[in-house]
Amino acid sequence: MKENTEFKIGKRLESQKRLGNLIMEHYRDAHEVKKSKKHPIAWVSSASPNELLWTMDIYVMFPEAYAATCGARHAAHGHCEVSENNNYEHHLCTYCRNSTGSSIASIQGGEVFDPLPSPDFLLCASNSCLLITKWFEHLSHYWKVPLINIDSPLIDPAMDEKEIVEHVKRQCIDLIDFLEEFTGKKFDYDRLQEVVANGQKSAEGYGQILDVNTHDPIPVTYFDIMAHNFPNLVLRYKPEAAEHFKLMKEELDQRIADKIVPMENMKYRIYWDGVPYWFAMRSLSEKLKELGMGLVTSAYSEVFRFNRLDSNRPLDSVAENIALLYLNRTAGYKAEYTKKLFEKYNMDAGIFAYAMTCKPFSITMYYIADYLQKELGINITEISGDLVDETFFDQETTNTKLEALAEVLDSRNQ
Amino acid sequence: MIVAGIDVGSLTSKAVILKDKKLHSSALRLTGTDVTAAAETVFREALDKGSLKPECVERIISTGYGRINIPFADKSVTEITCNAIGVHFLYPNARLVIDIGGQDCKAIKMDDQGKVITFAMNDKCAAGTGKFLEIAAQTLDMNLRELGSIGLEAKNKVLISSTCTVFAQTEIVSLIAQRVQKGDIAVALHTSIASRIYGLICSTNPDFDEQVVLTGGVAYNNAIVKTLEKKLECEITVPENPQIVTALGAAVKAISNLSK
Repeated sequence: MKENTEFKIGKRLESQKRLGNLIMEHYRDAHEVKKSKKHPIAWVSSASPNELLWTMDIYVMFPEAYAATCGARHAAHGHCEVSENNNYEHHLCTYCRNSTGSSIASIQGGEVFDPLPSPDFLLCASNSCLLITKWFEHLSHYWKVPLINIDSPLIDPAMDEKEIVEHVKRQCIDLIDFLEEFTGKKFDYDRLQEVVANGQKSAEGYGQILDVNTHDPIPVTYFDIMAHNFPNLVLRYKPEAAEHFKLMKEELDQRIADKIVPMENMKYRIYWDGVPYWFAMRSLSEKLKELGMGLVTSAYSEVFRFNRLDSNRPLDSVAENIALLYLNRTAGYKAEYTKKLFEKYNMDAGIFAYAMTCKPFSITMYYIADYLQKELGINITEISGDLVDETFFDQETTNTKLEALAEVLDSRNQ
Repeated sequence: MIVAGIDVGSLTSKAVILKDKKLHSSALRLTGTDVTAAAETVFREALDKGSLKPECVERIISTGYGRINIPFADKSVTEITCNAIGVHFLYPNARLVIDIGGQDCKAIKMDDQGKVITFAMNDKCAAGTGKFLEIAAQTLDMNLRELGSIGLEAKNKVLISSTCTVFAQTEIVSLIAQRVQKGDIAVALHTSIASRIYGLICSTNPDFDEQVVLTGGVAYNNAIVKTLEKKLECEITVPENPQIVTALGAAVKAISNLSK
């Protein structure tokens, strides 16, 4: 690590404020759309072929992003409790419990934190999670709206990737048929090209933001970056997303030029593995700063790169974006990919954040951690908690593990 | 040179005083609900035992879950680092420590200097810790010593599948209802704990050809030691006073801290 003596500590990014506005506008517009009945509303899983929906002017809502927001605002607990009162068990995915609980409460007129406007249909893809199809099936049952499920099998090295992409593409064509029938409008392939072009620019911009922290010292911690997956996930069909990343890149480059850093006495470059514990990010950020550990990047962001989009091949690239998703890869692929991230970002150590109710994401974690320790000889600590359910998390135990990691790194440098 | 280490654990607080790098005195008491008061009291008890006054102590390091709430300590260090240092002080050839305390268990792999290479620790759930054995012993209507003495060999093999204290209690009640012998249940309990800890140990990539040390209050339970030895296929060293090893490590750390 470079000495921080000549550097100044940065204030809150302007891009954070702009992000806040983008998020607020998105939800405000969604409610206006619902009220005016101008466009249908779809609830989708994060890595569905959403370009096809945006092409048809369908307003797209993301229950996973909503759950993360509820978690960060300490509001998920009430929704999860409604689920449990309806006999959904405590160890079920908390994103699922959050949206099921908030849906049940909405339908029954109960209390819901900033509720999403009700869906007219649902779309999910099996690429990100094994549970998601059943989760959306339940939402479909409660809201009494159609569900379209895109089957996107695991990318196993023994399988032909092209065949998998073709398999997904065929379903995209079926989805277009459904959308035409549902909306009564003809699908506009020129508009798809435009939507994909916007997404392509957004994805490029998002990738550049993630790359900024290869710099030493980092201009921002990963805590400042992680929420910026929102524009690339939710708004990439609009030019505003790419514009946001362009301005953010300029801001971060300026920080580097002005020798602005996010924290004092940063000693170690730290990698985060796993979905963020949304409710605990502030306390974790403060703890890591206290220990001189700067969070640099995470493979979590790979889920939101969507960097296969290509406006010269709109439909094919949408299918590739879905089929070849990082989350849909094997443990071996992820371990090798994470190793490359460690090398690219020159990491000192890793925090592996096991999410108690997110088995599909967490199940490969121990394998990856073990692989990195053996391959790179790096130090790691494993913490446990959850995406949004605070009952699985203990701050003191986590603090002990983080402090112990800092002590191990300090002793290595002595 | 007189230094002290204070380990405030979830169940017990321990204080160790070193004089000229040798163990001078120690004390142990229940932590209770007031962490700071427990630390003060146990420190005073250790001083009294050693006929020392507080002002004689040149440096105090606190450790354990209550480490940050000890205002008279000069510095706090995690129980992971202190445990490794304490074990290295007693057994310089040790390379793996298993520590099972009241509400946590950890495995620490260390180098020939007593520095931590890697560690694993339980999460929020206290499954497979001293608390688990305490509740199990209560359910079987016996004390912890009795549980350890009857849990060495089973006449009939039974299985307790869970290390969750609540679930295991349910299983014990069910086994009692089936008139299973207490000794067989105790063996099943110890096997269950050993399995849980084995996973934790393996995650540190240990070398069982090197010396392995067991510390923490649960190390007094001979049945756990034997069950773990069988599971790990190696001999396990248990210090004379396994509960104070982390406090000892804190005191040793205080010596090096003093020289800075």
